[in-house]
Amino acid sequence: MMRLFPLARRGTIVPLLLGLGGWFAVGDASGQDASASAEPAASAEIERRPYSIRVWFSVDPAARLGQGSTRALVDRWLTLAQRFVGSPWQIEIQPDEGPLRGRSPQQLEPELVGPLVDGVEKGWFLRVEPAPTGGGLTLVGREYDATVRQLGPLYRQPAPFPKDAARSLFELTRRVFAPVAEVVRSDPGAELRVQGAALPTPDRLGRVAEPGLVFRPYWIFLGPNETIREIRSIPFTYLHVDEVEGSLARCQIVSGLRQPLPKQVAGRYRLVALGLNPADVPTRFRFVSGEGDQQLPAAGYVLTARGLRDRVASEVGTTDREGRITLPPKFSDKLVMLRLLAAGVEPLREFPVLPGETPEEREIPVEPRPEAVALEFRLKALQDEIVDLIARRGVLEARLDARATGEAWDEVKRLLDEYEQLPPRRDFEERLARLSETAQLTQAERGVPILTRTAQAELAETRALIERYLDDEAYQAFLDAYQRSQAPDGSAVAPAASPLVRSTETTPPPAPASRAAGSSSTGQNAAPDSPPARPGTPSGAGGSVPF
Amino acid sequence: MDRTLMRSPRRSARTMSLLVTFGSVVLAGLGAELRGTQLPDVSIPANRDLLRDPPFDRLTLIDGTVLFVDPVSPRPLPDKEAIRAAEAKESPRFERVGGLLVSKAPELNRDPSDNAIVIRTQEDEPRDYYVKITSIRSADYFDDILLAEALRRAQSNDFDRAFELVLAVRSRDPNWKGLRETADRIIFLEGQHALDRGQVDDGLRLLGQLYERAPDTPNLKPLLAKGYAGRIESAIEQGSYALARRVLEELRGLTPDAPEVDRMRQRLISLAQRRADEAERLSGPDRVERLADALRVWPNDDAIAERYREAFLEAPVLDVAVLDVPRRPGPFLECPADARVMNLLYRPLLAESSEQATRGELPGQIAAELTVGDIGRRLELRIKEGISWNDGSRSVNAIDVARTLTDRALPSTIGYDARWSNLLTRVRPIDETTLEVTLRRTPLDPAAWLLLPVGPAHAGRDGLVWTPSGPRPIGSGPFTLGPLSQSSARIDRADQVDEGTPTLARINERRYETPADAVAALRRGEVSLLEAVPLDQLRLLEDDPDIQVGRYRAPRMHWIAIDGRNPVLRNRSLRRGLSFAINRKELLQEGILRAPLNDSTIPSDGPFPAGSAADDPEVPPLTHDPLLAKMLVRAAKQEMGIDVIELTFSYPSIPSARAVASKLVEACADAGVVLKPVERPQSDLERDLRQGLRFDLAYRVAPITDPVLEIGPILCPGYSAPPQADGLGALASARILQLLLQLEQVQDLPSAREQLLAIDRETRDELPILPLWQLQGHFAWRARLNGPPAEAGELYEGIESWTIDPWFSRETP
Repeated sequence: MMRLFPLARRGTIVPLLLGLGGWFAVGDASGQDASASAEPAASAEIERRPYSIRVWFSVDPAARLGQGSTRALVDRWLTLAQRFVGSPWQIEIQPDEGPLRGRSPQQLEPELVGPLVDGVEKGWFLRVEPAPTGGGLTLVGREYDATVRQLGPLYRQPAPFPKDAARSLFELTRRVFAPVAEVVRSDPGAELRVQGAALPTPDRLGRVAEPGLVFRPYWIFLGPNETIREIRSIPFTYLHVDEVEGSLARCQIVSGLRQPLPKQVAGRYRLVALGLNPADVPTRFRFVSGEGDQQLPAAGYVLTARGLRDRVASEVGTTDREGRITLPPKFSDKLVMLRLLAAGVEPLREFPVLPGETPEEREIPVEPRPEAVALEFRLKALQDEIVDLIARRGVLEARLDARATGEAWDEVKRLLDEYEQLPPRRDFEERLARLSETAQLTQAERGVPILTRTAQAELAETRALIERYLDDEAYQAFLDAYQRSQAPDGSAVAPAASPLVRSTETTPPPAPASRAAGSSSTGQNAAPDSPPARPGTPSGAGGSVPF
Repeated sequence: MDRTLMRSPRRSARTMSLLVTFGSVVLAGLGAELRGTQLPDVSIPANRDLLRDPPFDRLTLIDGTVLFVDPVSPRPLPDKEAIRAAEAKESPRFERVGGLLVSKAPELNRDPSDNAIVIRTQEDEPRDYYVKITSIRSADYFDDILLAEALRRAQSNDFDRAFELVLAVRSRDPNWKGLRETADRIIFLEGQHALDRGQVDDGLRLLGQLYERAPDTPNLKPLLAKGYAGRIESAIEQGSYALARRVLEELRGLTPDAPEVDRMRQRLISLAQRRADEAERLSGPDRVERLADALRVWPNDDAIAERYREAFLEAPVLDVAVLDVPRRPGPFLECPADARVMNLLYRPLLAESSEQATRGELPGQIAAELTVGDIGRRLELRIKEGISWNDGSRSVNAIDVARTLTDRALPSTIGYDARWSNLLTRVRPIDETTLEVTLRRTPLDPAAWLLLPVGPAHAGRDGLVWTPSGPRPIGSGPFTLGPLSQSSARIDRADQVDEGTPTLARINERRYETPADAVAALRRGEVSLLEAVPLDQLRLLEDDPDIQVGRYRAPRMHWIAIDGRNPVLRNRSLRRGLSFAINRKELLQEGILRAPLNDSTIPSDGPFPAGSAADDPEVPPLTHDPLLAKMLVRAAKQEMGIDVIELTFSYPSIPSARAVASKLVEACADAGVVLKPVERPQSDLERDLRQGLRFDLAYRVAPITDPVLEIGPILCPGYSAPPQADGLGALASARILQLLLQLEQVQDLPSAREQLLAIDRETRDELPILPLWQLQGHFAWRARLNGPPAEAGELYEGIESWTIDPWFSRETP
């Protein structure tokens, strides 16, 4: 027999909680009254409508909880619910274990419990189990929401002290409970009319919507006679409650989609949202590329995570051979933004997630962009070479400076020869141009993204390195000084043919003011009678090494 | 005053009449022998440090006055009795007057320097005095005092101090009377002391030196004989029979008539005979080894030698010097030593991935046929009939193969392979000899995954079968594994062999501490086969007419593995800095080859052998630039915000790694990275690495025969480790990890080659490992071993046809 306990009127009824499963005894007439009041008032405004909740309760025999203790536990839990939540919850205790007979809440399926929740808005399936470590109890439970026909994740709540288990049970039901809301506006943010939010609660603890709460939006497509044709969740989209004003919750839309809540939707529909409370379960993802027979696991990709308002992401891990990766339980109790990177550099997919939202594995398709990644790593290798060259040039320039100061011109000549053996700037410019052109061509021919934002940034960085650090001003200055030192009258002679000298033709000559006194890149500006002066330390390129 | 007075023999009645009246310490306990040699017997002042304080002599005048003076001259003083007699003769103190002797009046005007010496007192203000020699009752010379103190110290077993004192005397006057006798005495005492304390080698060495210097030293010969006998006993107890024989020969040369000579000789002969008698109760290789033991004790027994030869011809035994012995006897490949012996113990499912093998035409494999269906996703295996397990329990069947294949997909088993686990969907035995394997996807070469040693299904999780004598590895190969230790492994010919029964009855693998020991063992003939020839000794062995040298088909790649689970090592600049710090060419030439580079031994620029299909020839070589290395390491430190980088560098106990480990440490230290070197046996190190255990840097060596399958474990040691080990996390570059995992999905050869080239190219830039060099590996064998080919893929290739002539080294220690 079913018993109903409208909490608002609980003080007037006799708490006859007689029997859970075989233990609960037959109820009384007040339950019948309550049953009548549990019918959802469809016409009532949603924010003034309480949640009708049907509860199935079972006790694992290994928990060694007797009938009286169970009855007392439920009684105290109801008292706590009345004291802290009050009218928003209308709880209806079922007399038997129902779907929990022979099953744990984890084994429930929506198809199994859906019909049992007919006529109410929520179904709670609670179970008392022995604690795995020996002492105390573990309470487990999950919720079925009739509005979106979703079975929530399994929540576990330790109850280390059996006499105080009611408090743990209340905490469990607070976590199990997922508020329902209607999305009334979706641009730029969203406003939610949360069911039961206008009902008074005795304590702040019992409020159904608080800032920080996260909702997941659902499209409910309606057929004739308001029948539900389809319920579709909006992927990678969450509504994060920023503030609550009365019964209205203002939310930020956090989505991995460009337009998660379009206004133009065909057909009759309702846009609702279901609150989410993270459970202590791992969050599983499987990333795949391709479709159908061509589908391949996205193995070896790096996943990073950051808070919504954080800029710095931390590495979560790398997908395994099957493209799987798991966020551990209690990874975060807030929304996080996950980003999948190819080879740790090329972002492939960014999406929000509430860790612990569901224990189910979510399959996420990605576009691997192998050509873009290959290009980026070629650019990185090129950057390494450039940096190495800059360092080598810096060392040689320092030595040249010292030798020129001491007028050890033979040494200067030897160092200049050594300098000349280094790869010239033009090599790098040509290689960079080749890489860029090849990427453009391939992108155009194959129609695959290669010059992605990251690749373009790498290209720009490489180009900047070449332009900023690989000019030949320093070499030319020392060469000029050396040649003037060798001239009988101390005047400069025409610079020797050098690939380094030729390479400077492609870049504008440095401004005279920035050059060392008495020297120039061509030697033409040098005064004929100027002494073979030591060149000054060139500005910009040769002066500092990017370490 | 003339200080160069002629010395006269000082030993007169001086020491005889010296009365010890002062000084705090009196030399006591000198033996009768010492007194018999009339060594100086002087009292030693206790308030002076004889080695630090200024030298002194101690004079006792006839009136009892004791003076500490600077060393007098001449040394020793002239004989005062002779002076006195001369003076008396020159001016008799009595003159005969009539029939009476009348005392003569003193001559007051004599020169004070006559028959006198000048002494300088050792006071705060030194003063010089004339002292008539005849006024000196006794003189204790500083040298004698030193020698006396040295003897006293030796008596107290303070031999170091004693020899310091003796050396001090020698430095003052090498010809000082009594110096040699004292030194000999001290050597005698020290030798005796060493023998008493059981330090036989030290004692014999000292007494031997003394014997060369003074063979007539009293009691020396009996003491030597006793010491040598103890040494021989000790050597026999330790099993060092060659040493015992050598010591016996030395003893015979020293004291041929000593009773110990015959006693020890008989002891060795009887021990050898006893072992030979024991051998008669044995058979096969056990008998050979017991007779060899007897010959090791006493090789000159011709009768035993003949019996050994006969026994050896019946059951040949091969002794092999290896880099390391296997650790775990199950059918799992955990280290290079396992790979060496695995095919001897367990037949593989397929011997090769060739078509011939898939048709079952190769001997020594279990599969009779491999059929590939469903575009490579379904494999049907038929098992050869009639192959028995070596315990004789039953024949190999499909259940055994199914167990082998499924074991490798279970993370809890030793032989787990994450790649195989990911590939395998189902194994289903169809009947006794047929089974079906379903794969998740089509691998590039399905047969390559079946080159596995097959163990019996009735074995435990560790691959061992419980027998009445305990758990044993039971395979179907031509050999079975005997006792294992850290330094040796015994492999016996199996009783139940169905095809290709090998000639060799036993293989004894031995690990030597150093490469030089292994080479010496081969040259002595203690072993007949050497697994790895140190390259710096290659020429030596090639020039030996009794030794032949072969080469391994695939070059050995050497590299330093990097654990990316250490966040420091994920830093790209640091890895580049470490690479620049290594002077590959110099280390190779000076550390390993000790000769110029040749075509087959070159620095490497990547994981693949130069010229192989997977090697990109366009990849530029890795250069050495210590300055750039410093700058990159400094940059890495700045990026990570740390001041000091300390890493552990594990390297195996193999010749090439030992030769360069310290230089690698120095090179990295110069660049600013502190490496803590840790040497480990190769099997232990490789097993830990493959299980995914954490490390920092590890020196690794391997040949690469199948780049597609082997590149993963090469770049990442824990590549196939169970997921809980986070083996993939060890790969320091996400890019390389991605390329490797993509390679696993490749299904055609051109794509695989392209992917391998990309890996080779990007490994040069990303440096998930530090490539070092590729070396041509060599093995060597004594000419009495017939069969090893000049070029082989593995050490025991074709061992079924090998033969060995009986031979025994009389010089074997």
